[in-house]
Amino acid sequence: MGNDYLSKLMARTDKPHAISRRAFILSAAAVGGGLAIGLRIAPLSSPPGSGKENIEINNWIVVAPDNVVTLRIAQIEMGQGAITSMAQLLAEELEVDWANIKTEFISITTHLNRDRVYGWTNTARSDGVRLSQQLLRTSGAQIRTMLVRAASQQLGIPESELVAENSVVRHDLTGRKLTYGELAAEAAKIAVPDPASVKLKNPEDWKYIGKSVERVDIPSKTDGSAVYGIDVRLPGMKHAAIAMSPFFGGKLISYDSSVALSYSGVRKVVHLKAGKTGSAVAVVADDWWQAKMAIDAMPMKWDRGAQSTTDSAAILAKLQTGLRGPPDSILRNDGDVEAATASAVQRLEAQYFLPYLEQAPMEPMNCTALVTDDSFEVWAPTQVPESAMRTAATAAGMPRDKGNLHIMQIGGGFGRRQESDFVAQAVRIAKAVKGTPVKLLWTREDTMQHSFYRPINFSRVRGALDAEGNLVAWAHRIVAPSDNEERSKLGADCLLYDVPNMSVEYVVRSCHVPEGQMRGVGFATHCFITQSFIDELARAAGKDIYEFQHALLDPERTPDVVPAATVKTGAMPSISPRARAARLRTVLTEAASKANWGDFLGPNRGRGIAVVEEANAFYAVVAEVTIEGNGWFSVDRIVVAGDPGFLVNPDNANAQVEGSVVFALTSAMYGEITIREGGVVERNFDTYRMLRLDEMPKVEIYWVLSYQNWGGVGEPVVAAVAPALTNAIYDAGGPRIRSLPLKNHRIVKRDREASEGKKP
Amino acid sequence: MISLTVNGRSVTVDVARDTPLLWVLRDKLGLTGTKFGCGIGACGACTVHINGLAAYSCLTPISALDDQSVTTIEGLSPQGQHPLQRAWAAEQVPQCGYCQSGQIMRAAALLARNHSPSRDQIVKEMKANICRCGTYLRIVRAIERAATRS
Repeated sequence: MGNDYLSKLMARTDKPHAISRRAFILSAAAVGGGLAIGLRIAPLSSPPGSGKENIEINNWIVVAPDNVVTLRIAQIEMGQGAITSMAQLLAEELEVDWANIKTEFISITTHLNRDRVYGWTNTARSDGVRLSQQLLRTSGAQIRTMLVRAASQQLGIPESELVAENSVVRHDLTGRKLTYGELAAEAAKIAVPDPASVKLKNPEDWKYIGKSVERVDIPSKTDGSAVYGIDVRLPGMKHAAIAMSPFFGGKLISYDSSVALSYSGVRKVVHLKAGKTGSAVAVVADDWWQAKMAIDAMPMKWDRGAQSTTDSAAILAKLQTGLRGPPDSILRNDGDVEAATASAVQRLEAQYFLPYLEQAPMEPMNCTALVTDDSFEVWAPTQVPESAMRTAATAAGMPRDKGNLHIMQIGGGFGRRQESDFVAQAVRIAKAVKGTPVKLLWTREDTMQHSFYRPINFSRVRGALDAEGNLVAWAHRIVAPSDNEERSKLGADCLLYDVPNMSVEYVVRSCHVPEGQMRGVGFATHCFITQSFIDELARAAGKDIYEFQHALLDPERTPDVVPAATVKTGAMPSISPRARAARLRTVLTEAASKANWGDFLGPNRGRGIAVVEEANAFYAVVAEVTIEGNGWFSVDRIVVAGDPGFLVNPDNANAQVEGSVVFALTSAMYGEITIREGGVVERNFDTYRMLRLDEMPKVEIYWVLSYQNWGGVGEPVVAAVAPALTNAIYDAGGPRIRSLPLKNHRIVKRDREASEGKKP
Repeated sequence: MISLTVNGRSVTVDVARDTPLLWVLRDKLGLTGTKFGCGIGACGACTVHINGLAAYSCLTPISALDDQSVTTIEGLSPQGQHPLQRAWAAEQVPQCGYCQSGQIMRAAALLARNHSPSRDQIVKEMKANICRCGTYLRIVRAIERAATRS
């Protein structure tokens, strides 16, 4: 569907960007990418036409006659630099002129129609680069080979004498050359070479990968021109506001639509019967503010449902029952924990609790949809376009090939946009006003109270030390509200420590609160638990925590079998547990060294350390804090050492780590979703606090790259900050923190607590 | 009918008098660079200038703006070349970018009244705005860079 707004956008952005001053506007490409279908993309087998149009050489790139190369990006841009990083990977082997590229999101329709040609299209779990780098580099090399082959045929010169560089194929002996633009039409006719037949560059020859190329999406994010899902504007578009059940699983019993319809601009009231998050009612109006005023005024009655009395205390009490009885599953069982514990000299036990959390991306949930009698079209800010497309088709009641989904740039995801509830709602509302595009926009309150929350976790860990203070047994029992590996198990069973007897048990105590993914996934939960308890054990053993960890990570003594630090079904090159332990120990040592581990910090100050392994990536974090004497503390310094194998864009990797620190500090200090009467108490940023600039520590980042395997940079540090912080608070003389967030604790010195008559 | 100046242009809008400026900018005038974040003046994503001062457009009813002058991110500089915008690019500040219009507008109001703010003054001013991606340290660097260059 063409329209003026979109063509204007396209016109504004239909220019290549130079590396120094890019006029590129990413979001326009996002809208335009879907729009281009049928205009620009010829089927792979069909012959190109006059040579005047843009040529798709294969699904990854489009070459224009003026030699501008458009690279297609399969990951969503949500600030993690995906577009730039993916373009760097593709451009590297393609030998494209970086100053003359454009990027656009892939078409998910094309992807599905062509047997999922883009591979991994979700954006989650630090997986983008890790899962796509091989495909992107190989695809770049295949296309380059096709271009060189076309040049060879055209010039009558053997391929081996031709050089591809900066979007030109040249023959140095004769000085003859052809641009990619001139070659595209012929190259598109050449059979795609076998992936195994193309040779990839050695890392030392890379010119884009590993360089801090400026992010292509940044200029549009400094002048207001970036277009997010919330900014979609279509001719004749109406706006929808929504009301959802205040109680999870509640149903709308009655509502008085006449009240809403009496408001100026209101066109329709739409009742959405119970779906994934309970029933809802929407008001469609000319403007969103009109829709919101009308829905706020509309009387409605909700059936509170069976869960209406549930609250946080009841949920915790239910989880605590999971300490008794047999586990539902056993994640790890090395040696004989019970026997080793029985013969140990010292035994420790601690219980840990983490609350529900909400992802809180800055852009509230929204989606725009247009449904006609025989088609549907969706503009979705989503991390999961494939499943969003399936959801949209189901909601429209049409087969997938009747629809199209435009992938929009998103104002933060953090896992929330891995759910497609708001996509289904938008399509169902649009179906009620057929032929009219509707943008559904949630308020912040809707967004905070109707999420899919990072699940609570209740854990008990027991440890045993021998006479020399060696850790001889470790037993972790996890009680979680669902049987979900990614959210509630990851990070618990993959410890690389030299502990001969280790068990990790899992118990489910179901709860009605909807669950979803959140940046850091299970690692953020279990890293806090395991790295807090290892600190407790080190202190019980009378050892320095850094020395204690260093000894436990001795690669010579790593167990032969340690579960992978990723979802077990995920594609992972197998690294031996010894190699993993060695890499983790390297970052531990680097962080400790850079943080001047062992130097005296001064009174009321303390240092803590924690390590994390997540999917081929290894990080250590040191935190420094000062207890302030007013029941609170300041975070003074965070030192991070990391080894994700390779870095595609070092400056962007630093930005990701800086952001991870902020994200983690917010969760550790303030993050808590409270349940009362079956719903969420927190409504907005006044009650669900975010870290602000005046609370920022100094952040230092050190890379110790192993150039082995590819790991993530966007997530692992999120996991390791909280335990480094709470261990530092203890080190500074403060309390031992076994539950988050910190706002629920008084952070005062233990000796002061004791003198006030409380137990240390 | 309310008449006001937006980015140097006179505009007249016909909306309910309690409509917040934010929705007039976004839905009526098509100026979508100003973002909706919280609706209660807690996050700063909607920050614009009203008569040169930083203000939450989500809390400002349009009725209060008769004959007043509003500047949004789109009107900060003709070519997006305000010293802060250049500094934002040089420091590669934005991640998701959603909050950055508000951040830049608040910083611009600060620099307009104080050409060389101290770090403490920057922090005190900028703590009004939330960045969920955590670009805070780069925001400070960019403001300091713009302050020294402007």
